[in-house]
Amino acid sequence: MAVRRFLRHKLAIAGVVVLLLVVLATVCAPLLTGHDPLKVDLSQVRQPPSGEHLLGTDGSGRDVFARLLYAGRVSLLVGVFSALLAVVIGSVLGAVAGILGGWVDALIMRAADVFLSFPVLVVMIVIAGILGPSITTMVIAIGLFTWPRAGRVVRGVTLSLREREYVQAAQAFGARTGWLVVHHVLPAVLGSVVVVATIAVADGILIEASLSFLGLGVQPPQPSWGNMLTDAQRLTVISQMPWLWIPPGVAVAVTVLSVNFVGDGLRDALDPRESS
Amino acid sequence: MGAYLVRRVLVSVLVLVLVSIGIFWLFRLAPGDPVEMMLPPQNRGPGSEAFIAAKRAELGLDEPVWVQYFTWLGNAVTGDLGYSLDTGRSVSDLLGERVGPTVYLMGLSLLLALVIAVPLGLLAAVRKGRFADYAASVVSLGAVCTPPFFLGILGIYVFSLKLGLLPSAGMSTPGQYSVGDSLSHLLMPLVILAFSQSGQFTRYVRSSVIAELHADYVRTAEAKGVSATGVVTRHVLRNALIPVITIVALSLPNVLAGAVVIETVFAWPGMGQLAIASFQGRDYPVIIGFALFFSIMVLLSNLIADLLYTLVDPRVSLR
Repeated sequence: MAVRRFLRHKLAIAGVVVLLLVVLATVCAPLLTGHDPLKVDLSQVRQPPSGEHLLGTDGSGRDVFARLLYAGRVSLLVGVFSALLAVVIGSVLGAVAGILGGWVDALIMRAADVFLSFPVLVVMIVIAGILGPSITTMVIAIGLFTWPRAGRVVRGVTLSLREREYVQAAQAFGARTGWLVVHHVLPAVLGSVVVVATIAVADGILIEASLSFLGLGVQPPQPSWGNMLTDAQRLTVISQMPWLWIPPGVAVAVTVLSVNFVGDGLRDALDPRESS
Repeated sequence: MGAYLVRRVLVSVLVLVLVSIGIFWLFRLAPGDPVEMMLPPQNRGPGSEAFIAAKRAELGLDEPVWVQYFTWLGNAVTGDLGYSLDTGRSVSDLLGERVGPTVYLMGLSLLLALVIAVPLGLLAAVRKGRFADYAASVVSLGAVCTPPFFLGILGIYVFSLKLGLLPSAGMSTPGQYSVGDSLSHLLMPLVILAFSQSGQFTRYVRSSVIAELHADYVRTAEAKGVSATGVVTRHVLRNALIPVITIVALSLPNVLAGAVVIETVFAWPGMGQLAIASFQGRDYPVIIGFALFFSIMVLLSNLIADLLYTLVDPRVSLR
């Protein structure tokens, strides 16, 4: 049933296809290009696209197509891991808040409001400015400051579960909180959590792009979609070398859009009550 | 109302104290000892150990951590945020002169974003499931999914470099001030920041209007013979915009984060550009000043959102 609802969603199908292509292209990067994304070749600096270099070369003579593919790995992984972290923290705290209620609930939800109101970008300016930028710091910061979305969803579902007879029966039999979470809460929230997680991946990729563009995230020479655009802060690069900055920009937009389409499709399929 | 307000302000102050402890703790984690950094290695001699100890005592670095924290906090509260390592100027002065351009850019962008989002969201809600709805959702999804800095670079490529219509950097051309000149500098950063914010707002307006369209009073008004346009503009929109006001206030920190990126792309002399420059130069006092300023702004906008919500909607009761 859920699968059929998802398949009815044309944009979601398109999203899945595009995403599969993007993931395949990044995973199979060594098969698609013979160039090393890190290899500097000063005799081939800033070459326009050609048969040898499909998307030309950058300021250090590195192949842009190879960099684009390997950058995709980094950007996608940052998106996935930061989303995982956010969903794990959010699910645990959301479930605890929903089950225990009272002041624990109030405290967790208050904290959720506070965390959500600090944009990751600004947090990272401070953290990276003081401790120095790194991928790990970035993933942790994204996870730590985006968990409230998942937390709110899980709390909402948990609260409604508390009223259900089968949960009250389990509680009456003396089931412990941990048992309740594993056997009743998790299965019930799974659908909504998958939807939230999908959107979190899209957000993670976008945040990575902005952070790395500003030098706060993935550091060169390691390529990411965001830091490949850093060069495009110079007017000569923008005007004369569009092959350097159009591909990574389009890659981010297309990937994030596809992930969002998939998220919408999943919402309709798994969580029909939530669909608008 | 009074008790509610006092409690909310107290909670905000508590959060601000926690945030300041967090910032202070981060600062302590920073690599390198501030006194060691003052003394270049080539100038070290037999006496430097004693000098370092004396300097540490002078700066209060030999005190317990909590004493250092309260000294720092006391200074920060009185507006003494230290001096930039880079320019030697006072951090509060540096921040002060950057607030204007950022508020100018942010305020106008928010306004423009609403001018785009309210009609678009309303149209999408009223025409739910039809072409206009899909068109609006494609536009707003595009706004949410395209990195604003990429739009900025595209804009510079097309309008500044290819067509030569708009300037690519700054707030005005040095030496030739005119209204037209500053408007042409403002246009691209303004439109791009507004567009990237409008996506989220459009979605809120749409879902908020859809929720209100099902309310009982709508059926009453329709039964009384109020025209469809009249129902929407005079009844639905007014109620639907209440949650949107809150969202706008809550999104202020995000707009500022967006401004950081846009200011960098367009060399707009605001807080964001200062923050990125101080990050690049590891100018700790400026970074910390920016962090404190930003935290206060976040908590204030949360407070404003709460207050607006209760002021605008008489159905919300205050506890």
